[in-house]
Amino acid sequence: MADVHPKILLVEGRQDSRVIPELIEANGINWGTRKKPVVYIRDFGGYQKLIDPDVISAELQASGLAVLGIMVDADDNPAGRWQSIRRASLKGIPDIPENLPENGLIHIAPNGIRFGIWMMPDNKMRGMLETFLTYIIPNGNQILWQFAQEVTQEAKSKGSGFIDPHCDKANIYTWLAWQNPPGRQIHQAITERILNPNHPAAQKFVIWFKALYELA
Amino acid sequence: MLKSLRIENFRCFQTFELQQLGLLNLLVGTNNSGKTSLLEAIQLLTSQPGLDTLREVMVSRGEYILDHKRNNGRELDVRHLFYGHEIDVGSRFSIFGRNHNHQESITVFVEQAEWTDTQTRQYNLSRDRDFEDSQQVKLVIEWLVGKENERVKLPLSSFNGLPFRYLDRVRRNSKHLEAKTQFVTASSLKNENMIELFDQIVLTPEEEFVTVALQTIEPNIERIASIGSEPYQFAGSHSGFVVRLADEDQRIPIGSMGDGIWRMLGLTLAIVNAKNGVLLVDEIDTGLHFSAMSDMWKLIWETAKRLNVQVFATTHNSDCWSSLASIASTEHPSPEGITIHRIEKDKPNSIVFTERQIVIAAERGIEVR
Repeated sequence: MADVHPKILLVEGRQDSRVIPELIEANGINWGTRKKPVVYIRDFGGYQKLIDPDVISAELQASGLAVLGIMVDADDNPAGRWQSIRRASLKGIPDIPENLPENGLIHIAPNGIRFGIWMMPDNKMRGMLETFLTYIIPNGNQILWQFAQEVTQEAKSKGSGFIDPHCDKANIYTWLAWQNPPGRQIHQAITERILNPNHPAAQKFVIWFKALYELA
Repeated sequence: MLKSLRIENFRCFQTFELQQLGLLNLLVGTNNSGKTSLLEAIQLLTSQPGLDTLREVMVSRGEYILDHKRNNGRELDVRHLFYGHEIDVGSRFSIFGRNHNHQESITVFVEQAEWTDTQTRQYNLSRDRDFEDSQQVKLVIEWLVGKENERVKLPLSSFNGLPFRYLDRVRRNSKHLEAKTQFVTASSLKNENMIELFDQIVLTPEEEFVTVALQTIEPNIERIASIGSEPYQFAGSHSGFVVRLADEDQRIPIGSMGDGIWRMLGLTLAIVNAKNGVLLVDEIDTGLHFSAMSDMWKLIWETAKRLNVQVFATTHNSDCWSSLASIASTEHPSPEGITIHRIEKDKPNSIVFTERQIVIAAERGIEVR
């Protein structure tokens, strides 16, 4: 049954909806309970299902909504991705800005709703959530991280089947396989500080998130 | 079919607009957000000649005064129709509707009375003590349909009431008013209204349709009949109808069958008698189990399309709107299809969910209420 959530984040997939709460909680925000989280995350099982003008405008009309954020991956075409998400948002947000700010979009709609967009990894570069996560690999772990990337490339040359756009995913899971304990899932790796959620490189996103949802 | 509706200074709305109306419209919103008032506005705009509608609406809300002292009988306390519950010379409320190819409106305002001799005779003012010693004001009701307009002026009493006895004297004679409007309140129709509506359709193809509708709740029902003779009629009771069940030899009074059957009977009788007109239903889910709601919507929607009835219904119920989503279609949303309108206090217009958005909202768990 539908519940009223004043603050909602739309994401592409399950992975996003698991990682974000851990990342934000590690940055000093109590995420709340499963039933009443500070930000309710709805995942869409893919970009195409999310960038539908009727979906975004229906989300914007949800009862009791105050803030709606959208987090998508840039993938291999950041400019095109921004244009498509912008076009899909126009029905609900007719005055959405032309350009995506480097620090993420925070826009107050005419009806008072706060509307935000973040494009992983950094609103500019190609990539995805996993690209962003490579930024927060602890500084002391760089040698191993270099090695993980080299090995992944080599595996590719030996017939490993992953596609090029998923290179960052292959890299980070390879690296995770060699941690203690080995092979944690990404959101667990954040909780257990295998990844460093307080890394300076994560702060731009965290600042956007806190500002959009007015979290202190 | 109404495409949009705008109201000014009517009841709790200073200004309010319903846009993008479809053939089937569900109004949702918190208590006291004005959903029922919107149904009333549509009813006043679209209803049959005469002011019976106004009387029914106001009496059902208890908005009348009894003037014992002057022996004046009952008066409608018309100030409650106006925003802020107060009237003075110059007060005015309006309801505007836009259809495919014409506009229609009803405007009601208060003005200082300057009665002509004809009017004085018409309303017997000279014999009416009330109007000799009161500040004489009158209520002007003006209808506009396309380019035709009509206007009636009615005297108000010293309490600013509209005496019942004047209401019957007003008959609209516009040709445009062939369409019928049916209003089903939260407490359903009265049995005398139901019998009257049933009489309209008995032995027509629509009678079969009523049986089919009742079978969605109770598959054993084979036939329904009205028994109009007096012993069976008590005002306010679920009486006046009997049904035959497949597994029973004797006929069963419909009152034995539970609220769902009564509600369904009321809804179907109302809609088949609203052909080419408007059906208004307050709290449409009343008496219906959630499992019956999809069937109810299917019936209402199919019939609305078949008989060209524009439907406006209200609900508080979550199952009610999500079961409406089950008959809405993402692939083939009809342009004049199904809408949900959320009414929020102090907003100038409703939040509209189109047919496709209703389906999306139900699938994604987006709360529309």
